[in-house]
Amino acid sequence: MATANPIAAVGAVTLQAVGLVGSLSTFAGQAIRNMLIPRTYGQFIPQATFVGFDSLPIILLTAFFTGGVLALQSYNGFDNATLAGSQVPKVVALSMLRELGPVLGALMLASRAGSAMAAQLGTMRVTEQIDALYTLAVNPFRYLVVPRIWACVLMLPLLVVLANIVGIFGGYVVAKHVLHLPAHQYLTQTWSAIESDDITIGLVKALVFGFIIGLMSTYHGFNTRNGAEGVGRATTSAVVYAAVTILVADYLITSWFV
Amino acid sequence: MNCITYTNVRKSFGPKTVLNGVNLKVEKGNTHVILGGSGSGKSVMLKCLLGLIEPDEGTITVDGLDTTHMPSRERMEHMHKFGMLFQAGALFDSMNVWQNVAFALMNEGMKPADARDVAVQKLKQVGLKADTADLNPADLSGGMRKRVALARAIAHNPQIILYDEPTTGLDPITSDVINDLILQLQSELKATSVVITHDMHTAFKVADKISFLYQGKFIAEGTAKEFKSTDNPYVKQFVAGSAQGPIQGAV
Ligand SMILES: Nc1ncnc2c1ncn2[C@@H]1O[C@H](COP(=O)(O)OP(=O)(O)OP(=O)(O)O)[C@@H](O)[C@H]1O
Ligand SMILES: [Mg+2]
Repeated sequence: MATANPIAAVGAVTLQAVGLVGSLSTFAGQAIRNMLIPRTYGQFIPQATFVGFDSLPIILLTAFFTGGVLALQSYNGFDNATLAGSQVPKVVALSMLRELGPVLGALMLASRAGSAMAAQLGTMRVTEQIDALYTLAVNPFRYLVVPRIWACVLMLPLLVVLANIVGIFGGYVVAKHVLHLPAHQYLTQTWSAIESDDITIGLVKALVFGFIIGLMSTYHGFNTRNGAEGVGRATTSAVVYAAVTILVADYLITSWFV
Repeated sequence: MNCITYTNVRKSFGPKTVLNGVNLKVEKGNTHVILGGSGSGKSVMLKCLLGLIEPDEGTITVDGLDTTHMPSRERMEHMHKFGMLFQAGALFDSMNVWQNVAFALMNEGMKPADARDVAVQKLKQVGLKADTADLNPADLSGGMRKRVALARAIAHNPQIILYDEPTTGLDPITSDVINDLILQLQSELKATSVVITHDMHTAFKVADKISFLYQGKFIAEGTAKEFKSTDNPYVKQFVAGSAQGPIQGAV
């Protein structure tokens, strides 16, 4: 809406933001409550397949090249080759585990699976399929929202573990074949660099990011309005809100662990 | 006996008042037709009955039970009474035809093989061959979609069937086939039906009673015969389908 008064405009935006946070929290609360009811798990397997298995290629590909780039970039940062030989594996492993594995994995999952889930739920909303579920005595929230959030929460950590392995392998391949660092040393250095904290923080991030992706995509999809245009908007919102929230949460979790 | 009653139901969306004091009584076992122009609030009225939209004011009862602000758990149990044919079908596009029809049954725990048999039988009941069972909703014509949606709406043998524009967008012959279906289901299932339409053929053919919705209220009620010979200028204009008269088209 066009308004001439800038203060009124700021007020309107603020109100909108507060309203969004409010309805998102309500939605999240409802989701968490329903996630603990076992009888809502029926749709979990197909959703987990879609979120987990189908996202494997894109996430592993991303991880491989990320590991490779990390090795390449960090190598150039060290003054001499001996130092690089011992430090590159460490940089690759810790960056992947603590940061890039979960964050890039989550961003890829949000753009691949999150957008698709939002579009699917949005289409179901505007074509009244969600209303139809309800009239067939099925709680649409439990049937559609809960299994999708569960799928994201449980699948992203698994994806991230695999992404980390492939990312470290990507670093190894670059170190061995491009940088010509000693291969055996690379693996032992990697192994000795990793501590249990690095694994924990990565998995905590993956769990939280998974919940954020599931929440944002189902929230925007489920509350779609205004036909095809609304579906497009819901899809974009799901990805943008998920990405921004993931980056903020990443900072908070990191600062909490450090 | 009244099966469904609306008492003074009001609903606005923002500044726009859609239902402005709706009063209606639908008798048990009757087929009650709701006539009204596009955008007059017919679909909103049905959605209030189902609890998909909560009215701002007024009460709605079903079988003597006040359902206006029913909590969601009770509401889910209550939904078994209803079969709803959505205006655009609202078929689940992630499932094929028989899975759509058998959805409620499988959800109640019926085995897929048995549910498929029931679905095929329901499809036959609405005039569709068994080989449509494995098609996807996207591959159906408009008339077939309506029939599949109808089969899904009646699969769990509801006591109350709601039809939102069952014949809109269909050719006159297919429309009449659907009209016959409504009559046939009526006599087979002994259900109470509410039929929303602006198709006069449908209204006159299936109605035990007709109510006319205009500007958020019912302004006329009667049998098909009474509607045909009415003096009410609004009803007269609508039945005749004329642009001239007291009802101004929204242009
Ligand atoms: N969820 C909603 N939010 C805002 N406005 C709505 C909503 N649902 C319906 N309306 C408005 O209410 C009015 C009545 O809509 P409704 O769908 O009931 O019309 P209708 O009588 O069924 O018309 P048609 O014969 O074209 O289907 C319309 O102006 C519509 O824009
Ligand atoms: Mg309508």
